[in-house]
Amino acid sequence: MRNASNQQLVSSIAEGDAGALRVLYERHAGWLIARLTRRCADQAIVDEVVQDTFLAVWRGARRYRGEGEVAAWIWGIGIRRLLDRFRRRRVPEWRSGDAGSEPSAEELVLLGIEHGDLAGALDRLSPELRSVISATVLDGLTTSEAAALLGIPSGTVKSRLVRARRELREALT
Amino acid sequence: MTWHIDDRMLALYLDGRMSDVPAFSLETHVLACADCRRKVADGVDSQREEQIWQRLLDSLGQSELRPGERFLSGLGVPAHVARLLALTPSVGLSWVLSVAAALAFAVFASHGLGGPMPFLVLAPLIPVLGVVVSYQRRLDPLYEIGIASPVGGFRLMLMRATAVLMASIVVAAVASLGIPEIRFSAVWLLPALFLTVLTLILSTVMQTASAAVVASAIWVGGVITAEVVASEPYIVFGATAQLVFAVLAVLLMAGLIGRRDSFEVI
Amino acid sequence: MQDTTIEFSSVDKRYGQVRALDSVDLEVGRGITGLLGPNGAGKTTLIRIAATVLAPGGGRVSLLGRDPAEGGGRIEIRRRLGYMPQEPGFYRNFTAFEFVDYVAILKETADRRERSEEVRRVLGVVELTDMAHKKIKALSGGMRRRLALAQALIGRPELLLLDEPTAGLDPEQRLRFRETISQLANDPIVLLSTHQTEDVMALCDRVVVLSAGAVRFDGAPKALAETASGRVWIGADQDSRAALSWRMGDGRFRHIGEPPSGAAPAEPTIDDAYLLMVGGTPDVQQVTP
Repeated sequence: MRNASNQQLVSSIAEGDAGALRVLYERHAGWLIARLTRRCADQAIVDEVVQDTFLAVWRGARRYRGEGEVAAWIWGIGIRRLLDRFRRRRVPEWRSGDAGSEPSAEELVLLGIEHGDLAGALDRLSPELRSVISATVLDGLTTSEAAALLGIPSGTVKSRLVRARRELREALT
Repeated sequence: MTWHIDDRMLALYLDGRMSDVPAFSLETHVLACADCRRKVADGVDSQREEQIWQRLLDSLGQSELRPGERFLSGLGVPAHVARLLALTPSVGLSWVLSVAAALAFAVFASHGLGGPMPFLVLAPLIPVLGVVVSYQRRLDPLYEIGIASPVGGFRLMLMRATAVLMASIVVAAVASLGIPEIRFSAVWLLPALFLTVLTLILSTVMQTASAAVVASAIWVGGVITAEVVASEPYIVFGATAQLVFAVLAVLLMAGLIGRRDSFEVI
Repeated sequence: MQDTTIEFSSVDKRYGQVRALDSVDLEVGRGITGLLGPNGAGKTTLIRIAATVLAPGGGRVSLLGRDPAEGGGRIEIRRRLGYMPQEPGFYRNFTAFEFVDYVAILKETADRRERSEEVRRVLGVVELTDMAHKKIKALSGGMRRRLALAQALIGRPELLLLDEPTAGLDPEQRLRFRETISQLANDPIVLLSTHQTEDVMALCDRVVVLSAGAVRFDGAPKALAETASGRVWIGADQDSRAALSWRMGDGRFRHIGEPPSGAAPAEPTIDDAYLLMVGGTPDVQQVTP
């Protein structure tokens, strides 16, 4: 079981194997906690969301059809659980945009190796444009989900996406 | 994979000091790289991870609440009782649907025949049927283990019978709204109660299914005889009859309690 | 009457014309007692009466110091007992966890968290933790048997009644089962019925031999073997004068009863004694010395 692929683990979980869930948890809980923490400062909420996420994995394992990485599937569940919390209660704000300082030159170089000019172009977008890209492209939310998250109308999300794409295209050509 | 996360990047990220764009890259990368996932996991507090897992284990065992359970809990039934009942064969959606269908038919028949009699005869028989479905002693695989437990046969039977009776009353009440003459006068209610207790007490001396047949026969036979013989129609549902049903129900209930031992041992 | 025993005084039970139990006197205390007998001997009837699931026809029963014929006493006994029937039924669509959870509710464990922990504990004792969330219909026969044992262990009962718990298990499964029973923490009164002398030899402090509804022997397994002392022989051929004789693994014949000519005396085993007592039922498993 320790060497099973993520796909195989999910199949076992679909058959009720709690041991497989444990292995999956050990592999994925860590990064999920970290990634959710970047979006929500409240530790208790993140803990509950992680718990809910793996409970949903347990119950919904049958519905995973093998499309895409298991990690991406887990993230899709997790981010939506977090979104539910934000919708339901008044919680500290969604941490969007600048969590910290400007990227260092070294970081930009490193990213340049992976993403080329895109990284620089992204960085030059305004925070509000970057946050819609983050919500839709990175976190995989739909336009209406992103709208709910950022507290802006759907139409605004769409128009910002259009602007962002245009700016990126211009920056890259 | 052209690059992986190094310790410095990891520290920045976990401390929340990494800016957006590098973080995008890192997060996208993590989705596809098991080694870097492990790296990130090492940086997260393992005690915290373990605590979350323990809480998860607890909720795993509960499995999903069955629909009946949620409904019953909503009505204020204690969680463990709701669980016991929700796992009973009859208190389920398919039973409710078939009962609703039967009663709907009775409602139409009543309109067709110009009187509520079909409905009034059928409604009190619904809980009788429910009792048979929910408490077939010999057919319940957990029968022996059940009676060897402190909740035992009698208490469990009472819980199930009450649940069945309540469910039947609700469905019948809703169906009765379709018949103007009897809309809010629950004249079928006391007969239903009487027949349920009668079936239960008969089941102490014969098979549950036979008890149901006998009780149903007594009821239908009684109603028909009354209609043919008596001077006024619907006498079985009149005020005097209601009183008789109430008294009989109480007496039979006392009798049932007196016969409780028959539910407690094979 | 102590409160740590099962006591039967002249207990009778009839089913129509058939006498399932015939004036049974019995006193069982702490430790593991085996109820040994052929099929139809009345073992299940006896166990069911001890589990309060069946009422005796005649005689008196006392369980843990209480009288099961009396309502209050019966509930109190049931709070402290665990019962594994011979053919336990399951709701096949349940998971193993849900099944044990259901029984835990029947045993009045209302609090969800407490129940959860107890269910996990008993599933751990029978080594079904990994299967906890599989549906029962997906479990093998041996696993279901362990599951049936698990539900009996809920609440750490003082009185544990197991009806033919090892029937149909292969030798390895029987071994694991015996290990589980012998390692129970709270030292309950265990009464288990079996028709395998091997279970008795390996597990029981005490054995009661039941045949045709009557108790033929009640004492230590060693003492049971000794009742056949002087009646067991090994010879080269079969002999019709012996009460029973059979072929052993090495080609010679073992006889019980009158010594055939030329046969040498042999050390009696529980098997020999049992066969002598109940008249040679083919159900008993042979053990070659």
